[in-house]
Amino acid sequence: MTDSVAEEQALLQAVADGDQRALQTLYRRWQPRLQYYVQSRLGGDAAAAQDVVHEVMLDVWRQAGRFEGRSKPLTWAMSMAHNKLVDYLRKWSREDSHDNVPEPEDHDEGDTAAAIQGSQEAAYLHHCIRQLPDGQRDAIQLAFFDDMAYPDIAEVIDCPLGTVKTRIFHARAQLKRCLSALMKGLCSLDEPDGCSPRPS
Amino acid sequence: MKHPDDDLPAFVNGTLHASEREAIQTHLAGCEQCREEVHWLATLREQMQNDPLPAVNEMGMARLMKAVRQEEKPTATSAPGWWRGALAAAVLVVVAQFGVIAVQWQPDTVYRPLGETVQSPRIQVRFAETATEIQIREVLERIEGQIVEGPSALGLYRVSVPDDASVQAAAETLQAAGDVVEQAMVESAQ
Ligand SMILES: [Zn+2]
Repeated sequence: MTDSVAEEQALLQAVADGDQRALQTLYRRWQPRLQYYVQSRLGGDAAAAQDVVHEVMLDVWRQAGRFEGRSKPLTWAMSMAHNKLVDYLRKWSREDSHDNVPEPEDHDEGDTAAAIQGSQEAAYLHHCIRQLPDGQRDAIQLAFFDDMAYPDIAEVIDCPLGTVKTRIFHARAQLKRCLSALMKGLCSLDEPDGCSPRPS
Repeated sequence: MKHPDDDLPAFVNGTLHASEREAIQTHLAGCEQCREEVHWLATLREQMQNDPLPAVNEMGMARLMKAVRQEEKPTATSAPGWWRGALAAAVLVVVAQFGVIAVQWQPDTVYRPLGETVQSPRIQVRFAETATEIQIREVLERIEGQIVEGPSALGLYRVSVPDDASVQAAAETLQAAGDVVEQAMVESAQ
C-alpha cells in the first residue's frame, strides 16, 4: 500500500513534467477502479462512465503539477471523479433526490450474513446495494470494494468524516433490512422498488 | 467498553491503525454481538469484492493519449494569446465531438457516406480482445494510422491513414497482425 502510494507519487511527478508514458501507467492502474466507481453511480451506463473517466484522466494530465501530496494519489483522482460525476448528474438533472431518507430504527434482521453467502444470494446483495441512496452506496462501496480508510472516503465524496461514518452506519442498517425482507419473502427481486427504503 | 460499532468496517477493511486494531480485537474476544457484526461485515466485503474490476479500457487510453497530444500543440506554438485560445477551444470541440461519436456511432452506418463531405477512405477495425494497448499502438504506428472514431456498440473502430492510396495495403498490414487485429477492412466509399 505504502509502496504503491510512493510509486504513484513519483508517477504523478513525472506526469507533471510531461511524461506521457507515466500517464499511461497511471491510466492502467486507475482506470478500472475509476470506471467501476463512476459506472456503478451512473446506473451501469458504461459509455457515459468512460466519458467521465476520460475527463478525469485528462485533468490528471493537466493538473498533476498541482498535486500537493496531502492525500494519496488515487484518492486525489477518485475525488476528481466524484466531482465530475456530481457535475455530470447535475447537468443531466439526475441529481439524487433521496439522499436524506429518514432512517427507521428497528433492528430485527435475523442472520443476514447467511443471506449473502451463497451465489444466488449475491443477487440479493446486488439488488439491495442498488437500492441504497447514492451517498450511502458511495460510502459503503469505497469502504468495502476499494478498502479505503474513512478519511480518504471523506476526501473523495467531499464531506466531513462524521458524515462518512453516519452514511456507512445507515447503509449497513439499510442493507440488513433489505436482505432480511428478501429472505422473509416480504419483497422480491421482481418488484424493483419493493425493498427500497420506506417512505417517511 | 462501549461497542466500537462505528470502527468495525475500518477494522474489517484493514485501514485501522495498529493500536485501534488491538483495542477492537480485545473487545471482540469478549463480545459476541460485535463478533457477529464483524462476521457480517466481512461477508459483505467479500461479496462486494467478488464483483470483478473491469479490464483496462485500451481504447479509452488511446483516446486519452490522442487528446493529450492535441493539447500539446497549442502550447507549442508561439502564436498570440487569442489564437492560442481559439486553438484550445477547437481542441475542446474535437474532444467533445469525439466523446459524442464514441457513444453514438452505430456500425450500421458504416457503409453509408457521411453527409455531403468527401471522406478519405477509412479502415474499419476490430481489435482482438486480448490485444494490449502497446500492441495496438505498435500496429497502428506501422501504418501511421490514427483512430478517428469508435468504439461502436460492437467494438468497431475507424482508422485513417495519411495516404489514401495506401489504404488497402494498410488494411492488409492490420489484418496480418492476427494476434492484435481480429478484422480490418477498407470501408467502401459509395
Ligand atoms: Zn461489542
